[in-house]
Amino acid sequence: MDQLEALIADTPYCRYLGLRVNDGGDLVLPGDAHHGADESRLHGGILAAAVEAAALLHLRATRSTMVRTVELTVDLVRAGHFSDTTISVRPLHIGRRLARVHVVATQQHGTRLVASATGTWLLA
Amino acid sequence: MIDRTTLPNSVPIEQLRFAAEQLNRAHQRMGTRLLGVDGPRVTIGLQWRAELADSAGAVASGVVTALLDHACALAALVALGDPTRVGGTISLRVDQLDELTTGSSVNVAAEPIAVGDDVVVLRAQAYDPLDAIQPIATAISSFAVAR
Repeated sequence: MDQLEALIADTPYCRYLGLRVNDGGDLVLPGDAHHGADESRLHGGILAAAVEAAALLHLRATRSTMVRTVELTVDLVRAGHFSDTTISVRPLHIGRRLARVHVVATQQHGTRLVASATGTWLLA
Repeated sequence: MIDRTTLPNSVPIEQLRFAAEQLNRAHQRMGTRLLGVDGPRVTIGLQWRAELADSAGAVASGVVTALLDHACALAALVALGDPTRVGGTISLRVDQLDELTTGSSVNVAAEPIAVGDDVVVLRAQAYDPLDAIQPIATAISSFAVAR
């Protein structure tokens, strides 16, 4: 967890998003109105960016190497409210060069799924 | 169901600029600018800013992802001709092809592939404006059409 916090502190865009680490080791995107698409919903692009940042941070924390996004598909399941979004990263397979990772973003203490994503990251 | 040849009532450029730069709070904060509209194709851009950088100093790939999504939403608005008909992103697939260098700005152009009554499918490319030949990222997205 300390390592994730150190990586967030080292990455300007993660600080810009306001990412933090919760007690369970998941990342949290704050539901700030300045992340909004309009007056009531989080911008899907910000959710996608936070999902990508979360996967990058987890892989950097576990592999401590340079990690680069190859591809990412984000399914936005329902509109995000202006409340905390918890982002859980689950590696499906970590190979020597490529990692396949599944990411889930939820609100309301895990009861409200807002986004599900699968992507590939290059470990160099 | 799909009409690729004609555009509906054209969206006034000032309305599109407002949607691109002001209405979307996240992009207002990022400093995203509308650069142009050419038929169905919408181009937006972002200047390099230190707070939007990754740990290496280039514009973060997540920023590019957010720009790809936003450009697609604006192209959906042009395609549908009415902001009240543009629903949210259903799905966004991004392929990151190359890395930006520190200090590089990023432009994103998006256009519809198919405009249906229920769903709009679009494609977008992100590139360094100093190297418009090689895209640094490409995306396919689908957006819901609100009724």
